[in-house]
Amino acid sequence: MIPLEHYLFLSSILIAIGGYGVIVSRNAIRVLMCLEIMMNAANINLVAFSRYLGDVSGQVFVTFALAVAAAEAAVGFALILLIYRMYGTVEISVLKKLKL
Amino acid sequence: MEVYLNSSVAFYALWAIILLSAFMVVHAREVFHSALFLALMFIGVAGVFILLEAEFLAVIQVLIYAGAVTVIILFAVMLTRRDGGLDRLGVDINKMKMISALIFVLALVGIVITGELFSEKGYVSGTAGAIAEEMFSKYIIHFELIAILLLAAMIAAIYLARRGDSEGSE
Repeated sequence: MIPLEHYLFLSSILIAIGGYGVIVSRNAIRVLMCLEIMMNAANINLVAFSRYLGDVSGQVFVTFALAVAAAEAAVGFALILLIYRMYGTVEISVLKKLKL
Repeated sequence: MEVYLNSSVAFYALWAIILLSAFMVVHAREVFHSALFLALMFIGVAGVFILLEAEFLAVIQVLIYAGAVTVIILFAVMLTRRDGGLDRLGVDINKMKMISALIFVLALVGIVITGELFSEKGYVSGTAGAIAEEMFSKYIIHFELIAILLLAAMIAAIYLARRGDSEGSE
């Protein structure tokens, strides 16, 4: 059996890549994609622990997380469409109205 | 021992696929390519779920993430670009149609062959029943809250995406 740590390595590297992408991306769509990567990393963790502890609760929470991710994607991309209509671009550098 | 070897080979192959495609999501030059690499990463994660004996979640992962979320992302990418769609990528659409049809047929054949292999070994177990029992007893409140959340998100998404039209007509 593959040791639990290897799943944790996978998900920690994945969440690091996702966080890196959220920080360096200048395209709003790509930022949301990196958020999805981070959610997937968390899901791998939950399922791995659920498997190794023999408790199915982790998988139930992954199911909920999937629903939340779908909702987040729908609202997020609706917002991106609005940003595109207002500014004509999806570069996040144009969103600076709240800056002092 | 052989099963261990096979599953660990599969696991480290998935490791490489997931991490490489996640990296390419950040670094692909075209956002469109990022979205396709994201779909590849979702499918890799579904493979990891299968190795963790969470077959139900793997199916859900493919349906919702690799299916629905990827389609939403591709729509967002295509709706927010001014300079043409696929033409700019220099892709021969007809060739791509042939290739994707070929991949689909190969995948179907693969499913049929491996399906027989798995059923001979009595591999199919599934955790959907256990998940449902937990979800509808211990976590029923969470389930209802998620339902409300999905409804709210749906209304919000429709409202946000439609507002531009009504502003134009007013």
